[in-house]
Amino acid sequence: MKGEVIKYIVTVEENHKPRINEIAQALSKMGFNIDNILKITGVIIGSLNHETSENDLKIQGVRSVESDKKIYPL
Amino acid sequence: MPSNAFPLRKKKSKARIERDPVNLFLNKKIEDLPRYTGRKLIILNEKISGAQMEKQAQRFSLTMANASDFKLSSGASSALANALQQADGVVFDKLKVAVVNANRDEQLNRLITSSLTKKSFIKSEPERYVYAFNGKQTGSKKTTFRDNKKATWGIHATNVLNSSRTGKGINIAILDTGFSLSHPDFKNRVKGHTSFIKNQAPEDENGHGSHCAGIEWALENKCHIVSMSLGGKVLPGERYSESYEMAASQALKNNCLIIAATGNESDRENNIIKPVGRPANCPSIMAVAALTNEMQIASFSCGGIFANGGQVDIAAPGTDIFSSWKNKKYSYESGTSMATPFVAGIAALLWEANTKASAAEIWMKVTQAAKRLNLNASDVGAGLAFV
Repeated sequence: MKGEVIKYIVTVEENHKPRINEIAQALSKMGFNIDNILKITGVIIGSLNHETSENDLKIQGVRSVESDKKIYPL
Repeated sequence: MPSNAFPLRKKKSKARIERDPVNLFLNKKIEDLPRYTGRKLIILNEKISGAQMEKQAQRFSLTMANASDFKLSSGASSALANALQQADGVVFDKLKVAVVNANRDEQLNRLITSSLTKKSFIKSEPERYVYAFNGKQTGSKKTTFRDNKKATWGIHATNVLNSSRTGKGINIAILDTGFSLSHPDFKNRVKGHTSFIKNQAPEDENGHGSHCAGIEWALENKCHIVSMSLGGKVLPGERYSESYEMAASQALKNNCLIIAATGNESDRENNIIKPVGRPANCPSIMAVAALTNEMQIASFSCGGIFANGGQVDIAAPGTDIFSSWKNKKYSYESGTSMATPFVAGIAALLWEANTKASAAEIWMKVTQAAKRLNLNASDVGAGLAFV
């Protein structure tokens, strides 16, 4: 749906973790709204509007881009 | 000389190798079969080479062949037998173990006790026969645990009351949808807390991004263990989350062990077994299944049903567990959520006893200490978490 905001979790390659801030900045310029940069775990959490593709986020240093899935108490 | 034979050496000892007659083994129950071959196994110093071992053994009149002198092939077993007939023993250099023929006790004792050689030849033990197991195991005695005034059945089953440890000094991060800070059971026990959910009631579902944030927080606060009674179901063949696995593997590297519930989607009473859910399906997360008080797998407990899917690592009490509940109350609840904190607690006890251990070593200790059950490993992993 146009304008829908989708949350994504971007995992940074192990050897690119020292540049996580730089990678986050680059993603931000592409339209990725950053919620959190987790430096120890190497994960950037944010959201995209529907007009930007998640594939565009797979820049150098990015290992994977996953949509944020729901988790429930067990 | 054939290429798989070892060089012939002069045998100094006059002792013969006794061969066990074949009929010693026929038609016997395993408990009646001979235990020892008569030979001895010696543990060798890792830093000393096979050639040095052989030279040192010669000081006490033991002639040792080297396993590298014969190749592993169809004739290997006969080559080994020949080696043991023509020498006093064989050094397995890569394994750092030697096997010595029977009736060499005097020379062996001197090797192990002499100041010249005891650093190389560390310890000896009798070589034991091993036998193939045939036939099914007979049914094991049924075990039932019950709540009593002393403790709940789960505490009895895991043997926690017999531990001298309390988990003192070990920080556990509990990652959940909510926490009742005012409950009397948690008085003076909560070092810190935070929320990663903006403007949401604690009972709502939330995303695994917020759990990655929770793991990061746990690492920043030097937590040893993260206990996650949370999860989501996976589709058949669905792979684990890269982000969760990255977070979990980083946690291990930072000496933090993440323990998570496998999930409750199964209905085994109706022959339905669902796969281990996320994030427990990550290789770097210890996945916990639920057991009943009769040490059977709980009907709802998810299993490692796909070869490429998540696997169960361990199991713990998870049905009718009496514990703290909302509004300062107590309740009986069932779920892999209830089983997970047992494992987290036991990991804390083991870590208190082994303060210099890494998270990976504690994972190993938890599984080593587990009580093996007569159940599928795909359902219970190493067995019942035990201390």
